[in-house]
Amino acid sequence: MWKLTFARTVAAIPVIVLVALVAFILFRFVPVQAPAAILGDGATPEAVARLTAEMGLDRPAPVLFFEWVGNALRGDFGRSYVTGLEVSAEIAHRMPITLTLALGGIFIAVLLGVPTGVIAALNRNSFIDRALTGIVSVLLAMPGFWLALLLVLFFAVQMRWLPAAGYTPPSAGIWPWIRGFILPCLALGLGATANIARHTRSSMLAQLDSQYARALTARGCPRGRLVMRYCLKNAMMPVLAIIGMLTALMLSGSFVIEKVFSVPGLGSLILDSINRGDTPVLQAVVVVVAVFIIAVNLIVDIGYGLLDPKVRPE
Amino acid sequence: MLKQAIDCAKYTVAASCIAIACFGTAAQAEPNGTLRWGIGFEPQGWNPQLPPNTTYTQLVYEGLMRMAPDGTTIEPALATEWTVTPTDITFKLRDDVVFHDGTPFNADAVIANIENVQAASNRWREAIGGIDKVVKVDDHTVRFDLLRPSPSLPFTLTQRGLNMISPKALADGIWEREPVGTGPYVFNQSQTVSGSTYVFDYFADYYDPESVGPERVELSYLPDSASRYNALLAGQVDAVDGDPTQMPTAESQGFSNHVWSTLRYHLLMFDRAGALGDVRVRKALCMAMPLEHINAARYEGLLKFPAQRFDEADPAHVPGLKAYEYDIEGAKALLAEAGVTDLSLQFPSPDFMRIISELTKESFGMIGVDAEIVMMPTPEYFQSFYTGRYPFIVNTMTPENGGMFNYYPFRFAADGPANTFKVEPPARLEELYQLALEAPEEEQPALLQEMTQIIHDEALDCGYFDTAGVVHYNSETIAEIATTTWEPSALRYKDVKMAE
Repeated sequence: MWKLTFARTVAAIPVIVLVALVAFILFRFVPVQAPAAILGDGATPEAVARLTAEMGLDRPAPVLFFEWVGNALRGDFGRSYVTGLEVSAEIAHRMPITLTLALGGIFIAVLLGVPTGVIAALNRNSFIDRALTGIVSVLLAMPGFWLALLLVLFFAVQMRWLPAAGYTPPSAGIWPWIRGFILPCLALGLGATANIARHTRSSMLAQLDSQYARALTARGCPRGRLVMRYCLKNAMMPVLAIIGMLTALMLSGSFVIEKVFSVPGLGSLILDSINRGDTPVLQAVVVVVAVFIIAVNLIVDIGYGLLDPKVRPE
Repeated sequence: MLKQAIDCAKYTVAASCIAIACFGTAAQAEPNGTLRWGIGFEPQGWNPQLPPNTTYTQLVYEGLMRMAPDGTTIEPALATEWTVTPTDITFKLRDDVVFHDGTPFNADAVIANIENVQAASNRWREAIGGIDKVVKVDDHTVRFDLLRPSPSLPFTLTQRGLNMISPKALADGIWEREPVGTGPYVFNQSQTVSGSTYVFDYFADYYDPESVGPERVELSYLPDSASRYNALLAGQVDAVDGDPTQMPTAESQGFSNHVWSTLRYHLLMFDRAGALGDVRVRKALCMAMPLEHINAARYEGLLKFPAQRFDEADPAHVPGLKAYEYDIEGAKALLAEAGVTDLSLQFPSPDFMRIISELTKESFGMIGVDAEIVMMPTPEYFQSFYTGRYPFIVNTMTPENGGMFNYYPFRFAADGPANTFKVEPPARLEELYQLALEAPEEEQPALLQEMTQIIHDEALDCGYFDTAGVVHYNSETIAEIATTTWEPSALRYKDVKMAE
């Protein structure tokens, strides 16, 4: 297992460097550059050029890139061109919010998706199966932001049970903090629920139809024991891979949900930074998100190796 | 309240006096309530000179003067009075003001602030370029010695770039990260949730407590307009930055609407020597501006259509001037007279201007002008004004606000920052401007009005329409919303009246 972990970790390093390089190059071409954004309405080309020089942004791109990489390796992502705040502090403030949203979404998706898939598989071709498959199809087809608006209209506007938008920090109390996340996590998680349910169902069906399941049934193994002890465990292998992939997708999905619910996570930070041409923030967020996604994939790979010895390297 | 009651008892004068002093001001005697305001802007640092961020900075900062609600009249703020001569301006300062960090506001503070702007690399340095030096006459009197006549300076001093910042914060270098002004509210960092809710508390040492409405202001950054309105519906905020098209719905759902003029849009014609070099072509475009169509499609009939750049209160206003009327046939005839048959023009548009741009394109198409819209993101759009790439744009340029002394040098002077095609202005226009600069105040209106007349007759500018800002608010918690004309993104926070 150590070999697998080491191999995957080493393989991640060039990916991170490549992501950093691509982010750096891409953000050179953002239509809005920081000096113009900072100067705002009324910024003449002369004033923009003067500020560009003052900020040292007129130096050659390779110099800027290696300076940035050198500082980033020391954990210093610099300061935002616009707010003057430390980028690492800003990310440290926003990252937990986005992670809570993404993990909350995946928690809801697993909590609802796995039982739904199992129940549908156990009741193959029955009314229950068709009803659950229908709900899953609707959820899969429904855009996340639209679902979010429906949830807000019902739970926040009509019933006033939950907040419609905004963010409450944990320092204001655990329940207010959780309350603020329920709707965004539901909006994010329900689409993934459908995905997990669909994969769980087909995977469970494959296990229930397998020879070992038939053999165990023939030998008098109780249905509950067969499902819970043997089939579900084996059916979870491909589902685990899907959950890993969805966790990474949750991160990008959370960017849209953050906008709809006005949650101050990494998504809103990155959108605002694009509009301001705030490249230190953009570059840092892209690299941090890339590292997170690589880490999730690494955990999934290791988990997969733990569950299935066949995928471990020789 | 108690103090006023004692005062009234002490000076038992006429009953009317008691009524006015005790009851007339009772409602505003002490700040009360919390104003929860949902807005679509996030603070971008606390340097008032940099990105337009008055939504937040107006809470904590004040200038020597301030703009009255009409957007034209200049009122005293930290300076109680001022005397203008062609060579200097002398200000008497309030002697009862302290910054939020306890530093007294005085002549030294003014000097530190002006020097700070003079050392900056932004447009505010140019805006106060007429100041040679600031001289301390006494602790509460300063004199600005001028390099040249600077009639636009009083207006500039009302603007965000010239807000007064604590000299201690300037010296410590923290002023761009921590706001320390003299305003009625102090930024409450500990209760603020960055990227979400920004909290401001009443400043206990504010020099004019009776003028302050809300005791606390909470600004919720809700970038999505639908989320913002939902937050109002859900009772999370008391007022939101709204939209004219949402007004009927808001009303039907029991909310009140506050409407005010925010920006004076117009047909900004840049290429006045090339594609738009013929006055008949310019007039034709002016006559094809689809103002009523824009009003119906985008602004629920709230637009106003002034005939000129400045209103009645401004000395450059020409009474009775008539705007170019919408006349497609007349415009076609003018183009034919000018011999223009195949005019193609590109103009930029961000998404928020799409309806206005589409209507303009269609209307120009009706007179045979092929106007092509170049869609672009909002920040790029605002920079496109200065690229010299587009012959015209439908929008506004805020640096030209404040009167002819800002408008002409910015838009029309040969070296004007917004004269991106470097077009020579009509000789008489330049001559009048120079004369007005040197003229005594009482002689200026006639000269400035002649300038307005030339700009109109030569169709150098036209198609004015005042866009409408809207606040949807809950009248159970807010008695009155206060705004400033031509100030689109901020309330007059301290003038907002909370419901009892």
